Amino acid sequence: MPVSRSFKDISITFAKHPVTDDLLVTKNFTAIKQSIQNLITTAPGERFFNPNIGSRITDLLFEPLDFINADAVKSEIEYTINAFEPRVRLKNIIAEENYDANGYDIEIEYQVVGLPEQYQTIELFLERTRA
Amino acid sequence: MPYNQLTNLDYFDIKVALRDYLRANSDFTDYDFEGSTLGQLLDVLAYNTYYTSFNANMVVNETFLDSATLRDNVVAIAKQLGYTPRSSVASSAAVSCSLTLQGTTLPSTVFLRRGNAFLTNVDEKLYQYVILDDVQANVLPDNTVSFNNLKIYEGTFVTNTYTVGGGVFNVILNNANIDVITIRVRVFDSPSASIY
Repeated sequence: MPVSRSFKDISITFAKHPVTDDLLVTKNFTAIKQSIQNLITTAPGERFFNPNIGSRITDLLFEPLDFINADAVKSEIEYTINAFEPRVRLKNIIAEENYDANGYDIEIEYQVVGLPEQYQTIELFLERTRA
Repeated sequence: MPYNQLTNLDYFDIKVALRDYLRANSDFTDYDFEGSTLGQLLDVLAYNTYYTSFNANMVVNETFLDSATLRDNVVAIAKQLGYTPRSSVASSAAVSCSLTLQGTTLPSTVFLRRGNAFLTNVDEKLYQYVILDDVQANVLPDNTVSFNNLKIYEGTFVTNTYTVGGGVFNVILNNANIDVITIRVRVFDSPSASIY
């Protein structure tokens, strides 16, 4: 079984460390979690020369809020993570429509490859936004 | 390890070079993954590098006549070299003609003014020829005037007049069929002047 190495990334907030004034750093589980969130919220075509990276969730959020599209959102997240995040092995995804907040409650459960059975969970709320 | 792939013009090669640089010089590890923030920054950096390299390459190419592709740039370089582009070429002929003058008082010389036209008929189609410069000949004692090897050019004589102030003045002749060797430029001191 492969053994996971450590991961170190820059925080997507680009906030500075209060003491060192350096960029905030994310490590290991947090870095992977951030990477998954980045992938899900990236629209295909957004990345230079890589039109396939990302998920079509942005488009799906403008579709009617119902269980059919909730399933489509779930499939899209599943495809995106399996295709572009080799560090994790998906266990389960729950996508539930939230009619009160007009969005989807998402829960992603996964295991980091190379680590013992220790599942991580990401909880997201996805809603459409207008620029 | 220095970043030294300065001549790369391929986006993915640039990205690989940047990743190799980070691999050797950085504590960060996540540049290998597309979802990571570092990966996204690398995308932007590689694209910026690619764009700058491409732009520099194009600029240098456009500087030389052999590699320039934009017409404006080719024209600009050709201008510096003193090149005049090829134009339409008017059919020409060298003719000799003789005139017999009648009358009591005859001039001593006869002029054919530039722009004077000659007509010829080929297969029932008329063609007009003109002379480009004034030609002078003396009247002989037998009242004849001979013009030998008179150079005539097919076409119509067109005159464009411009009033020019100070500074550099560019003239655009809006006729695509001009034979450039027939162009004559005359500069007059004033609009009413007759001597150039």
